[in-house]
Amino acid sequence: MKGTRQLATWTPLVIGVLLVVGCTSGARLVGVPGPGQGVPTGPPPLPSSDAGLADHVPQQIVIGVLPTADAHRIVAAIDGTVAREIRELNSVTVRLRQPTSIVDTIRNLQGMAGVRYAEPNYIYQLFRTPDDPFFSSKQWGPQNINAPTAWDITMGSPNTVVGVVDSGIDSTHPDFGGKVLAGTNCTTDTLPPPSHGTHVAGIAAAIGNNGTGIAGVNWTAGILPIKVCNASGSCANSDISCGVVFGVNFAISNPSLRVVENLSLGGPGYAQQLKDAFDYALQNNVLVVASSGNDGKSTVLFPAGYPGVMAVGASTPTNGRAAFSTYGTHLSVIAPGVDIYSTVPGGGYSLMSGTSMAAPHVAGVAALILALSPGLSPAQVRSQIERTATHLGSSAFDPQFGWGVVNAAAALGALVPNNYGQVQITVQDNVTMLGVGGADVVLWVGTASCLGLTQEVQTAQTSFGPPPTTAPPLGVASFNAVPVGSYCASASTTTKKGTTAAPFAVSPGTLTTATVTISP
Amino acid sequence: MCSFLPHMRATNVVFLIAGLCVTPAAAGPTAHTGDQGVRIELRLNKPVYTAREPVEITLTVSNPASAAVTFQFPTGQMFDVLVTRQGKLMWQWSQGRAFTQAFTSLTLSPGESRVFNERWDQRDTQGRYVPAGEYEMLAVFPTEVGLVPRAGADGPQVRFQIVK
Repeated sequence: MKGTRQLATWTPLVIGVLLVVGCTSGARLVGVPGPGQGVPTGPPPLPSSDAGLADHVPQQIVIGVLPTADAHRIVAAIDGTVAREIRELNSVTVRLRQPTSIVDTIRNLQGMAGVRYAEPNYIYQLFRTPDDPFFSSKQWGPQNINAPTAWDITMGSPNTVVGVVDSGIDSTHPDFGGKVLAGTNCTTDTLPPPSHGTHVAGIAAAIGNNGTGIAGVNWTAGILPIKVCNASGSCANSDISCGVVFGVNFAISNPSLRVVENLSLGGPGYAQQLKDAFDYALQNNVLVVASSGNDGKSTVLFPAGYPGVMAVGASTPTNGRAAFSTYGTHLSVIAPGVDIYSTVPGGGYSLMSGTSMAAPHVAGVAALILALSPGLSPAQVRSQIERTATHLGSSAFDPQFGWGVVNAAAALGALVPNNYGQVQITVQDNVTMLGVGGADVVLWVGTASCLGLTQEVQTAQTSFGPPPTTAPPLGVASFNAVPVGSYCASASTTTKKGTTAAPFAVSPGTLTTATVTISP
Repeated sequence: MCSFLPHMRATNVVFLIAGLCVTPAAAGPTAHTGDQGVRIELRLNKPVYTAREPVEITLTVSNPASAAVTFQFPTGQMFDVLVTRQGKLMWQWSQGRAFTQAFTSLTLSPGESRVFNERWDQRDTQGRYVPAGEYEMLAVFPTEVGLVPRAGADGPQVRFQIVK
């Protein structure tokens, strides 16, 4: 039984486990939500079977009765004995004589006269500190993003999978415990995997509380290794497209699983094939998380810059932006990315730094959310992570930090309404009709026919195409966090300018595109 | 005798151009520069190529010194190679690639070398075969950003020909 197994194996180091035996009430249990839900606002709904229950004491049920009811008669009716009675609360904790379904028994009780509530004897755990030796001595990422509190709610689910689109993985690492799935190699490189992919996989999904090494953000998610980079860390765009599509097809072939793809890689070049691959992912319910880049500047690198891809920057232990972390209006959130301790091939561990290390923290959190709420769309998961991130800098979105540092525990809370959308403005030249890189773009509060614009909302510059700047520019400005409303956009270079002809609407969690043609 | 030109900046890659240190040889032009005692050599397999003939590129970083040297890079990209014609970029090795976004290091023990072999198929950045003419090839080393020591080096440059 689930509760029995977890009670037997769980050994917290610091605070310990508090068993609430017969001390529950009809109100919800903080930190013990019902399966498949966010933190509930009332008693958690019953799952279809005991397997879906959160941690609980085996063969025990807590019953609340009306003051006029005979609790002992009700207990006898379900063939139980009273383990504890709290008269002040009109409540009894019942031990069932025979192994039987908790869920079925509760449903039976809910139909009886005099029963006010019936619920499993949930186990309330204050704080989970895994026994992995490096968790306390070397790791700071999970602690920084409130993962231990999140683990009180869920440690993940094997029904979620993190696709590590990277340089390959050492699937025999003991901290993966055989949960690495059969992946693919989209490259021609057959050399043993370098450290990068294994390190990234460990951050997202190394097994926690197994007495070994580190604790990943998500302890039970499967790991799908998708090799798209060679041993040197170079990743051809066509190989990346192959890898992204493989992960999506895996998700399509396994409809009971939810897949998050992590791409801890980036480059300056926009590629239509890759953009199409990410569209394919989002259309098939696969969330994509990517590193923002390590150039330390306000630039748009790819795949972080493709629409719908979550761009993740790197944070420091003191919640600053790592100096190398690429930032901008396209940034989603930031996560730990400096001196991150994780798995490397051969069963070892090492420190690495980069936005490569930040992205898998977020991928792990996304898989936690999907473990709890598998019905959420990629846009909803993204929105939940952004809406619940710990703000840095300004009170909301800041190009340096995106929405802030990802907060795993808050992200597992009740769904936060999303009042923001994304906007991409393409700026094109009136003569060549080609995109214009480096143009200044301003979003304004919309007016009729976009005349008399006075209220500036956000600014950004359009991106360039593949380097160097002599190549045709791409000419797209991305705004990741635009409040719902009506807007106009203007664009200008030193010689040309233009404005959208009509206002456009921004809707929650959706991408709105518009084009500005500039002329002298 | 080699001379050195000032810094040039292109997008997120900073590079130094060494003077043309071409060594005409049957095996192809070779140029080398040095950084922190490390020798960086760019070598082509031929000085003259026929149209569409692959250009074989060998970039060798070697440490002739008596102490180990470590270079750090902000991503998985340790080098880049650019082909220009009359100052116009024709091809860049890194185009169409992304790189792992973790800091990486390259440590060379005394006497150790690291060799990078690449090939250019004479297609330009648009995928078209380039015309006959004189070309230059430049090796570029991405520099560090922020936390780590500078990884850049003077980039060697060679000239070669493509004939019909």
